[in-house]
Amino acid sequence: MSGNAKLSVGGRILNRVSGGNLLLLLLRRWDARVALAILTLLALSGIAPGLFVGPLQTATTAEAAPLLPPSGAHLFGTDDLGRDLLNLTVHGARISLVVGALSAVITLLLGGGIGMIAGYRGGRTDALLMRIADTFLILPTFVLALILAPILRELIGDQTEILGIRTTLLTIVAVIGVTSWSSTARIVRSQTLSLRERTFVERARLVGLSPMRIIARHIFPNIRTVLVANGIVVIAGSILTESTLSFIGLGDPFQPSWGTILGNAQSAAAPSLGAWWFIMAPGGAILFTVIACTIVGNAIDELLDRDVRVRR
Amino acid sequence: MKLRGWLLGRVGGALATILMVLLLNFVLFRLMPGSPDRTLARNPRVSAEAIAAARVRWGLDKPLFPDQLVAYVGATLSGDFGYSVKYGGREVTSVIGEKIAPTLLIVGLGEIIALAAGIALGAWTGWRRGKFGDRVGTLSALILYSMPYFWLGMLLVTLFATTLGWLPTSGISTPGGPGGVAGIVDLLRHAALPIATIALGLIGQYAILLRSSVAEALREGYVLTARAKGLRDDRILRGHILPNALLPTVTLAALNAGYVIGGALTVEIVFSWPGLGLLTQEALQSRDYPVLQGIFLLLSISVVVANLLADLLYSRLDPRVRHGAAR
Amino acid sequence: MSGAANHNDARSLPAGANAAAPLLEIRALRVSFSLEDGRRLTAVDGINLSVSPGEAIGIAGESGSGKSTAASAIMGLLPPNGRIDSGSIRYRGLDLVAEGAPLRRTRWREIAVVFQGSLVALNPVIKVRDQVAEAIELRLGEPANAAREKAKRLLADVGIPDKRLEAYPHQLSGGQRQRAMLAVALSCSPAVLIGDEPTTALDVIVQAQILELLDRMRHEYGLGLILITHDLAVIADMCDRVAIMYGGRIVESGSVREVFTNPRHPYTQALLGAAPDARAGRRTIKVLEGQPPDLASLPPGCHFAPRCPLADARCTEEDPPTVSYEDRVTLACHRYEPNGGALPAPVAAPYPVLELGKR
Repeated sequence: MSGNAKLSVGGRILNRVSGGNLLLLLLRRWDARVALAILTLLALSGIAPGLFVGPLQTATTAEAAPLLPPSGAHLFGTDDLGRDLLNLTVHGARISLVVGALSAVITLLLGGGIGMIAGYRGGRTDALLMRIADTFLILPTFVLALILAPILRELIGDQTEILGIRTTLLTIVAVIGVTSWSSTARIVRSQTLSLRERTFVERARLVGLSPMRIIARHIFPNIRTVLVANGIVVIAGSILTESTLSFIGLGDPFQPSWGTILGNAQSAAAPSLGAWWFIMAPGGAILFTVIACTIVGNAIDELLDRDVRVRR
Repeated sequence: MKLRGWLLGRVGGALATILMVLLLNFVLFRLMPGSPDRTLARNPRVSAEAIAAARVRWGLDKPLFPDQLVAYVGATLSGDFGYSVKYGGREVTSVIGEKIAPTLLIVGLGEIIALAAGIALGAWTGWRRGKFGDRVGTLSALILYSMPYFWLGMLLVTLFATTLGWLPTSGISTPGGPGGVAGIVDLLRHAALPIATIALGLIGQYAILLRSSVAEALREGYVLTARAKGLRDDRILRGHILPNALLPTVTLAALNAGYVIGGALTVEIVFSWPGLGLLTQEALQSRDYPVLQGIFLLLSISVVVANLLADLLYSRLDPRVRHGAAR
Repeated sequence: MSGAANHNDARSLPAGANAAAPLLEIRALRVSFSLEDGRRLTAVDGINLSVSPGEAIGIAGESGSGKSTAASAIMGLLPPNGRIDSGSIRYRGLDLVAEGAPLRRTRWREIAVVFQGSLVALNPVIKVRDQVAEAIELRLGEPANAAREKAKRLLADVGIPDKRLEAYPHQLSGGQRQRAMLAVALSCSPAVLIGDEPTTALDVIVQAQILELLDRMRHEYGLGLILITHDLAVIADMCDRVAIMYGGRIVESGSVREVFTNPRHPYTQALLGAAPDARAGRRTIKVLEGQPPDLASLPPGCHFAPRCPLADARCTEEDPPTVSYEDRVTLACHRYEPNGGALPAPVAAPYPVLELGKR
């Protein structure tokens, strides 16, 4: 859903904390350690799901009975087709994480680019871009995504694969990116606005560097950390949006994400059958991912805030 | 005077937003594979003449800009949202119209409960920040915030409807159920879980926001003055901190309206609640684009209006805005 | 005046207080803060201070000298990481530091405070009049209407015109806000008023007006006034006695006349010599070198020693004792011997002198 911006923090001037430094600082906090451990485990399942649970089970390869509660043989139980839910959830990690991360990249590119341009150019460009951003900020972008996804899909067709990801999923990536960039743009703009007044930017302008070069050489390096902090929150939001879209039925049945599995559970009437395990594993995976991302994002925010305080 | 200028600006902004939504809808409308003439053309029983007539009727024989845009905006403003593909050519406005009340019921009640509970939880955790109660409260808020609405709904159904059998699993009323007062009770029993889902999903956000604004207000000078005055804690919190800390919540509640609606749509699917959410899913499955667009337009306008109302409320609550001081 | 009349009625003292005891007496007060890195910072290091009704005492010093912390300690408003390590603060004999001290009863009714920067000290979303009436209603238990009436009179008393009664803080000028803050402070007719840099954020003319008002209120209400400021001219104009603080300690105190005409402590001499005195036609300033001390890692001995031109080995080893001379002046400096209590002659500290240009 488009709620990713709601908890993020904006409006700070940041300084250069290098990536390695940031990680070390994060590892000093116990809550961030736990969150990073969860994210690492999820990333590993995403990278090599087969290593943990073998190939993805399908309706034809599934051998267990349908809707078995958790047992030694099936730790998380089985779904209505007899597929092992542990298998599905671990494979779902790949889709959820990849779609979440790719959407976040698009969101950050769009939001970061628009924010930097608006903040640097100022004036009418800024006013127009921020008007658009504000519109996207309040609109029910999730509903827009619902409409855009099938339109986009019919326009480009859904039979091909790009880099092993089916275009069905890529349309979801595009739709999430297009509908959730506005909060990033707002945050980046406010950073850029204050950076623009700094002496090193003024100097660069006096030396005659082109706006693009100033943005690339002087503005971007200074908002990188803001983008990292915001990016993690954006990933959480993207994963939530992806799971919701998939739950409604816009996912790809051949590459099920956590949301798709939950959609299947809903169609199979798992809640009214009392098949709680069908819901537990994929939903819990979403919950843990989003919480872990939020904790890491908040921790980075606090670290950066403290950093600013110390430097003042 | 300054206030009037400010309000005019807000109203203008809202109108601009609605215009942008119309423009967006127009572009989508022309872009989409299911645009009216193409939809008709897919049907072998529709004659070429009928398609041509439809093209004239929808103005598709005219240039895209400005004629078609003007025609589209004009039609939309006069309440003509087009015709549903799925519901046998019924007007979109009437298809959507009958689904508004059920959605409004669960979203409205859910939002009210969430605001009340979220404000209470946020004020409490913000006041006691750093203490044990704050940690527990904040963690709960974070967990609720991180749950997808539909998953929360599914968990509630499994627990309260299926396992405990306290409430019905889905629908809006018992088929062939009673009327009158008993009918209302029946309706509320069906609505209880959807409302609870929306409320629980929202509480986290309000609580987290209010906690941080209360914590921020605690560092303000006027709180020190209030303490120096020897006021009791609850008086300081309610009389001095909350009137300030609630201000951002008003804005967030409105900004969130779109997000809440998105979540509510999926909640309806979980509970087969016959509102806009269920309609959206049906329309998606049958690629009923006019209905989808109508829903998007309706929800967008509601959200824009909600934000306008929030701005008005804000200006009532914050004397600095009311008197046009810098904000 | 109505406010004064109210005040002169027999005051009901809080339980445990004794009308014969001194109004406010601070003995050997030590306040420290815990820092994030685990160190403790001693902000107030054993100060003694007392105020009588109608008396104005000024506390002067640089920022970080502990003067505002002392005020917070008196109000019981130290931040969560601060604590009173030892010493006592007594209001009419009532110990305000002891466990279970009746702070909530003494605050505002007995001791009120005017903070620096009234824009932050007043609540932005509450009408000024209601902020004055609040304590009257809640602390004195007067009915809402009476409280609002009294607030109106108080605001008129401090010079806020009637038509501004329903104003919010942001609608008032800086000077009006500080006047309103004074009305808030006087709302419960306190016996002690602490002004913590009450005029710092204001321009010179408004500052003079507020000080005049403060002086008038002191006499009208018979207030014991504690004026905390870094501005010695304010103290010279307003106060009977002065205490000079450095590094959490009072290095010199006494009557304003004695301390300002015959400054004895080298720090007092630097402070008084640092401002060019146009009236006296002085065109030179004394230059105080070095930085204020880091309170988190104070060296032993006199806190001022590192910057003192008169410092010797003893100054960096031994804390100078605070000695009282003829009940007129206290000094904490090794350069002055106890002398059997006879007031010693000032020893001029050889500060580098900066000549200002003619004119």
